[in-house]
Amino acid sequence: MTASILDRVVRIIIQAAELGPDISLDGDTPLVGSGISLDSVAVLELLVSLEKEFGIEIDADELLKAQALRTVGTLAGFIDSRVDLPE
Amino acid sequence: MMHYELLARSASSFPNRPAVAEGGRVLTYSELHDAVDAMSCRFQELGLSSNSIVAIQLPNSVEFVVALLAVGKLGATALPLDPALKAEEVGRYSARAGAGVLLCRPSGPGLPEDGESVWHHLSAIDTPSGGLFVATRVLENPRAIRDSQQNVFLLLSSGTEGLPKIVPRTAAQVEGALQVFGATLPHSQDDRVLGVLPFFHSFGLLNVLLSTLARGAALYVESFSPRRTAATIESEQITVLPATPLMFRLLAETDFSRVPEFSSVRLAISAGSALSFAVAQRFEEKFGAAIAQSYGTTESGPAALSRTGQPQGGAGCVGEPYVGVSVEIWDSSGNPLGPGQEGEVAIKSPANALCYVGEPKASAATFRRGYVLTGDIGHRDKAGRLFVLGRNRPMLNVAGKKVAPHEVEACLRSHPCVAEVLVVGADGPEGSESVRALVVPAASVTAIELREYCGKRLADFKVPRQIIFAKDISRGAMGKPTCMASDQTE
Repeated sequence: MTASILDRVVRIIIQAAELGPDISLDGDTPLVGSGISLDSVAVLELLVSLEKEFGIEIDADELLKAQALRTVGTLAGFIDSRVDLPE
Repeated sequence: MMHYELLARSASSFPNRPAVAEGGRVLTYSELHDAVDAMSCRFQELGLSSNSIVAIQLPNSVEFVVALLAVGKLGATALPLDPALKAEEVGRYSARAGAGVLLCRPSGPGLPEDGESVWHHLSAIDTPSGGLFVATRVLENPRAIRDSQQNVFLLLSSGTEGLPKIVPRTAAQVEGALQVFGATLPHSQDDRVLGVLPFFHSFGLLNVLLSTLARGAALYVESFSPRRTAATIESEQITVLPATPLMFRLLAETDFSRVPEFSSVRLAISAGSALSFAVAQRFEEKFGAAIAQSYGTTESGPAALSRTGQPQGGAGCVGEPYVGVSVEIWDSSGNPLGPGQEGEVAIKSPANALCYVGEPKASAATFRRGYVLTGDIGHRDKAGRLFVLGRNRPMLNVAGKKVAPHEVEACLRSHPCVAEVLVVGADGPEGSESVRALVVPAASVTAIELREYCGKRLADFKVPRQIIFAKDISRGAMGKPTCMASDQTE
């Protein structure tokens, strides 16, 4: 996975969840249940923002099935698998 | 008529029509009736009776529908709870309501970890989510508070202030809510209604779930997600689309490679919080459906309806009272005011609740002379349209000068780039406050532009010192519960 995807995902999460500037996220930060504990509304906001940022379509069920919301890293990995980036 | 009887009536009139659908699985009215009867029998075997108060913590699903109606068949009282609540909250609300039983999914967040409760796993119907139905927890606090009024539901409301209140609902009040809604918005057995508004909410429960089943129409249940929900609307030819402003906004914001066809929708209706013009406009431009806006409270049921997303009355207009509902504006002593005069919105409806559970003081302040006092500030114009300006909140003290938060909000809301706004006080020196605005932008705009806009229309001391952009005010950066118009509480 390119580092830039992780960075962009982190930026989108911070915006979608309205996390303050003092929050630092890394690949191992859990997204739901613990860590930053995104609620269902924040997850929907995140989904729409990620679609816009990466120009892809994400189905909420697909996201759940892939357990992509476990950590920041798993989400970035999921996005990476869906994005065709010129290397 | 009890809600179970509404189902029984629809089941005998339309046994083979679809009643509830979820994830492609459809139950006809006669199948739903059978599932409810079976579940009700299981409840009886577990010792539940008409004296039971049963907490239901389930997402919108066939399970919810069956559980609610089965509780109703027993003549017991249901306490629907937000599926997001944690065990501690479920325990607290159940104790206050006197609920002795909890119906939830075995993996639900409301499950206590104490291991002391008794679990019964029920699998009465083969549901789309896998056949396992609900788990029944016998709670240790069966404090019987049922009175002779035969409450069918206990609903949580954020009330006008303080902690959430429990609103008891009788069968007659529920029927009143259905009548008011049906008389204002005629609907038929041919409707296909989308069930994404939370069923633990007053509007979702009464005006979506029960209203659909009472008339023999079909309810398509799912948890909201923009692409999936858009696909359901198109493929199931949904005719009635009740949703929250947030859901309408997310649908409008999603980039579809092909915009889904919503031409089957004859009624899109927003409930739960104030709908902004900007969101209504974007939704209508994209999908060709105008959004009606329902204003109401958990305590009163639906109160006023604006049939288009951009009511002619302008900013703050929430339309005209529902048929059978009387809306007045009261001064602080409880005297009705005339057209154009600003005061507190008071609602009288056959759906009105009469009190809160266990809160005589708050009950006396909210339920007066057959009216529900909403805690919203508003006025009515000569044509009878209701305008809601904001919450009846304390004035901000800006260096000794008083600022009404809703006046600043009304100004910001009139800006085309503002979708939602909340004005609060930020603590300043010597007990003074400064004006702080939380703004959900509808289009790109800067804080400086908004301050200049306010500066042209408001005295300088009312212009927000600080403007903070947020995605969504109801869970805004202040960590406070929302202070938008009280239809948020429904």
